[in-house]
Amino acid sequence: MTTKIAVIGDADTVVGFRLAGILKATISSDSTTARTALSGYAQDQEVFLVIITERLAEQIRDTIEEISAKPYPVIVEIPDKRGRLEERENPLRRLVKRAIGVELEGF
Amino acid sequence: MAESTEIIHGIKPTRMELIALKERRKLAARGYELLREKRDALVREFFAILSEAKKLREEVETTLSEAFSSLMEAKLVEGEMKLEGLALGAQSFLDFEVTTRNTMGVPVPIFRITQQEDQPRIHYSLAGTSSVVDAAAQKIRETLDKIVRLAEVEASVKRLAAEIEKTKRRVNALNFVVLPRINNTIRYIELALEEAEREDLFRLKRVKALLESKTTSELG
Repeated sequence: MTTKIAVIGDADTVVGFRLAGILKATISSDSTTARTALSGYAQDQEVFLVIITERLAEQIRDTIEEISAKPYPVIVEIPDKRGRLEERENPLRRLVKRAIGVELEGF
Repeated sequence: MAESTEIIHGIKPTRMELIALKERRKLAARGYELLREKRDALVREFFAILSEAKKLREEVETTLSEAFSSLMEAKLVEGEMKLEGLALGAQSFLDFEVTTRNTMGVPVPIFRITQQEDQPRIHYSLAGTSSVVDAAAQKIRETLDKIVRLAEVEASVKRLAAEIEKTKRRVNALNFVVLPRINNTIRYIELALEEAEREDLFRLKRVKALLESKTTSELG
């Protein structure tokens, strides 16, 4: 069995990653298609890593949390061409608070 | 937190049980120490990996933004249609390997992207494309390595955090539930044994007094 990376993002993100050799890619611009795509990749035995844009990830946080509870696929969130989402709370921040019990500056 | 007064039910206040309980207390105390050490080591590892995750995320943000600028440039030079066509017709010569490593008993993923041997580094048709496309693709390929590494590290952070939480719960359960309960039961048995001893002593004295009065009356 081969292992693969999948990408979910806007058209430019998908074009970029396809040019770099990641072919399992879904263009999505709203939560419905993003959710469908992510659930599909989560079912796909080949996919071990899903790259998704922060913008889409923010809209389907519940689905991401649900899938993240399993060991695979690992989901990684990246900025799109418009850059980092300023209002986005770093998901690691909550994790740190839960594990350590205190808020840390800078995370 | 109020000191718990709960005891283990269904234990008879005997010396045998007391000895067994003291053994159990020793074991629980040892477990508590070990788990606390594990928790502390996990926390140290967690912080080390957390700062790496932070650094990597910043790197990904920078490289990715550069990659997108090249991509936008390629889009301008080649036109959106052409670029999309190239992307659609792309082939992949990359291998993606997934293995697992153990960090303090926590399995964490290791991701590796490798170029297939004897295959071109370019994944799209070269016919009539300009170097801007190559530059963009190259940039995204570089970012991809960083993204994969970031995914790996962030997944490790998540798994370590979950393990810390689990260990913390067990440490607290031992400290605030299991050990106090054992201690309370030990105290209860010790009190019961002392009470029984006092009763025995009293009974003994009573019998002795009775016997003495009997002897004196018989003699008299």
